[in-house]
Amino acid sequence: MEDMQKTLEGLVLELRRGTLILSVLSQLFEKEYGYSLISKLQSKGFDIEAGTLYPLLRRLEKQSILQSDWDLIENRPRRYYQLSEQGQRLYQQLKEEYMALSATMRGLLESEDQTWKK
Amino acid sequence: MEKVEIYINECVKHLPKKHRKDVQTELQSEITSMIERFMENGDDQATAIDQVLNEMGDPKKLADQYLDRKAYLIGPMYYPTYLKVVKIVVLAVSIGLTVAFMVGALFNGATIVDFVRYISGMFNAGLMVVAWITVIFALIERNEKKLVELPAEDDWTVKDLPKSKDYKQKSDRIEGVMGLVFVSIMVVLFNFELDMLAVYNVVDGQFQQIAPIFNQQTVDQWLLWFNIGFALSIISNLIKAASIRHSKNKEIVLLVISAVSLVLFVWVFLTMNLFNPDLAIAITPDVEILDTMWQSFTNNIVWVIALIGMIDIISRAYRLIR
Repeated sequence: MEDMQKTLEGLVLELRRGTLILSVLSQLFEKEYGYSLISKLQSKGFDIEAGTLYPLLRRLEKQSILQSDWDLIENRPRRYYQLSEQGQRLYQQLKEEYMALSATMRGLLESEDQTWKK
Repeated sequence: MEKVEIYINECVKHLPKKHRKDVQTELQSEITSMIERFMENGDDQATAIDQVLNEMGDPKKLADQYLDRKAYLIGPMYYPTYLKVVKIVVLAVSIGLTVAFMVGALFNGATIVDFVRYISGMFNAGLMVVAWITVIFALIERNEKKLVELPAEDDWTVKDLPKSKDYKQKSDRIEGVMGLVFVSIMVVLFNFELDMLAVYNVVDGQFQQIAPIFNQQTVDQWLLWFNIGFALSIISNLIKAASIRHSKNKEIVLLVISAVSLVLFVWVFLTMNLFNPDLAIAITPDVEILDTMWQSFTNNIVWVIALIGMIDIISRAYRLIR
């Protein structure tokens, strides 16, 4: 039984991983630094680990989906990220894909009869 | 705050130099923000630091995420070939040394010291060839994209099925494996047991060495160049043996190695006396014609081998431009 629990946790993790980027992009229409983004996502019910987010932001910037700049706040340099112009277009397309996928999934999961038959 | 600094250093030391400073500044700033938040919620600084670093997780894993790849010495793509080559070469070296030991024991008898030398020689030679193969495979791994044109994973079509031309390369592969076995044995012989290669005679039911074929002294002096030559040959044979797809770059690498080896070979041969000049006299002091034949053989063998090398280079060049 414990094995099944572990399997489930692994599958949930995988499921969430697929939505990670879209979730992050959805919150970057305005500038955010890493930790403020984590708080923002958390307050909306989406948990993301700091160790996952920081490298992800860098990768997205490298792919020109995000743009970033340094700002000096309370004598501390902070790196702010935001969707680039291409990133905004990409986000819209990705969002549409997700919506379509979500509708398909709904169709599958809520389909007719889901009682187990011999 | 010292813990934070150590944590960040532990992470960024795995990153390429040019990104290190940047990531360091960012992590410093982010972690400080997180700690401040924890302290606002009532934690003391030490607890806050521990909690934040716990949440960030293993710094090595964080570095892996920044690198966006697993750092492989030899990746999953080449690992099976690597294992195969290691097995073949270690086997070849063991056979070479064992044969050398047994021949030696047969001719001269073997003491326990010889046996210990044989075992330790096997261990050393094995270690050496495995190290070489590992280095070469690591180089292939690093330069993978330059050496091999990999098909993109998702646009496989039936056109990517190996063509019959590629199947013909199977002969290249067999040639590579045979070459590896041969070179491994040569490496062992030249580095450890050159005096085994000799003309023998049976006297009173005992084998007796008359004269070595090669000139041990000059070979020792030139050993470095021999080993460079062997290394080149190992590389080209590895490329042939590893089931790397047909590609232009591979052909060019093989062509360059062949050309360099040929020049090296001719130069070394013409500059040194590889063969023992007194071999024929040692065998039959009275028959002058044999001595003349031996001298002419040792003078001309270089050109025969060079000719074979030239043919190989020309046929490779032809395949390339065809």
